[in-house]
Amino acid sequence: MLSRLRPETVRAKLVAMALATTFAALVTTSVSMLVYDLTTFQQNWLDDLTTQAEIVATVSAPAVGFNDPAAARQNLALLRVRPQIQQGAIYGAGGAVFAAYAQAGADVPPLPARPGRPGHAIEGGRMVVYHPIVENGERVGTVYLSARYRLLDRLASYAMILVW
Amino acid sequence: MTSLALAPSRPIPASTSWPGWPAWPGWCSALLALALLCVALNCPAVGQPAAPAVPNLERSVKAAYLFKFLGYVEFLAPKEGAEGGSPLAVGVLGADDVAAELARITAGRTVNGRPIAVRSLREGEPLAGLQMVFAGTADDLPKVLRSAAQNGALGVADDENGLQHGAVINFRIVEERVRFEVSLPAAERSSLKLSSRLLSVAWHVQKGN
Repeated sequence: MLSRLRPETVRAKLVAMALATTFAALVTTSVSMLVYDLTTFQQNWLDDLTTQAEIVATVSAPAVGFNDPAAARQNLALLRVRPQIQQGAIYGAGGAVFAAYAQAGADVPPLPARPGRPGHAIEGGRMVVYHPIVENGERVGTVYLSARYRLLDRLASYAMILVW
Repeated sequence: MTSLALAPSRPIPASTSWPGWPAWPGWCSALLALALLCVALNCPAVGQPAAPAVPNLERSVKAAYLFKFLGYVEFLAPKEGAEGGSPLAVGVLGADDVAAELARITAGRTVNGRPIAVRSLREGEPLAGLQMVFAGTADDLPKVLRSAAQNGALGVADDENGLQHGAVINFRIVEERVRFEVSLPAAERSSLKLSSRLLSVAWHVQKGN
């Protein structure tokens, strides 16, 4: 069976070699692009979410410092312009929930009882970020944001483009 | 305290005597037990101030707010010896408990790299050199606040008509919570620039004409 596919002439061998090389290059390039795109996608999404958390932290620091949960809730409510961010919260210095937000109609899990350490995590199709609220050099609270993170969707759509 | 408190529970018998010691009469033992009891009951107070140890949440919140106000104010009027790194001087008039609480929470902390120096003021004391004056509910509130404004200090009051008396910031109790109102014209008169972030959480902002 394999012997029938084996090229007989030198010309056919050269053509087969060129095709194989091109195919290998295409596969390598596609995989590299896919990995690069997914890595960039994750990094961009993390940077974007961290920036949002930083903005919320900066704006809400006086509200936390002067114990004004209503002002903090108003700040969090601005997240409605970013539908990907489905849940947010501000924790006070003691670790209790100070103000909370959930995207209208979103099916969100209960908020963590205590804020996690500053950083990010990817869990169950969501990217969550904990960002410290710092005022006058002192940590006065923590911002928590949770956003949809559809890496598999992104992988599928990108793979579709490559296949086409 | 425990050992001292237990001491009276084992009264020395009246007939007890040690070699070389005279026998103690009964009333003397009772007196000794009473003295020991008094010492035991007073032990926790040793080394503590005479002020009552009852926590006052409102006082603590106001003291904490006074400290935080400093971070949202820019002092435009030049002051002698107010170069970077020098302490921010805060005067508290007629409220020693607030002064003590403020001194406690600002100990070892800085605002924009400057430590805080808190001192209690007496009526008629000059306000020169102060960055913030908490006049509370002083009888001569308008006079104190006018003097604070002339000295470029942030005048803070705790009076229903504090802003009318010339305060830049006035504490108010709203729905059982400590809030504050701000007067922008008074800030301007005092050569102060208040951060918009502070105004965003003020209960009321009095604007100029």
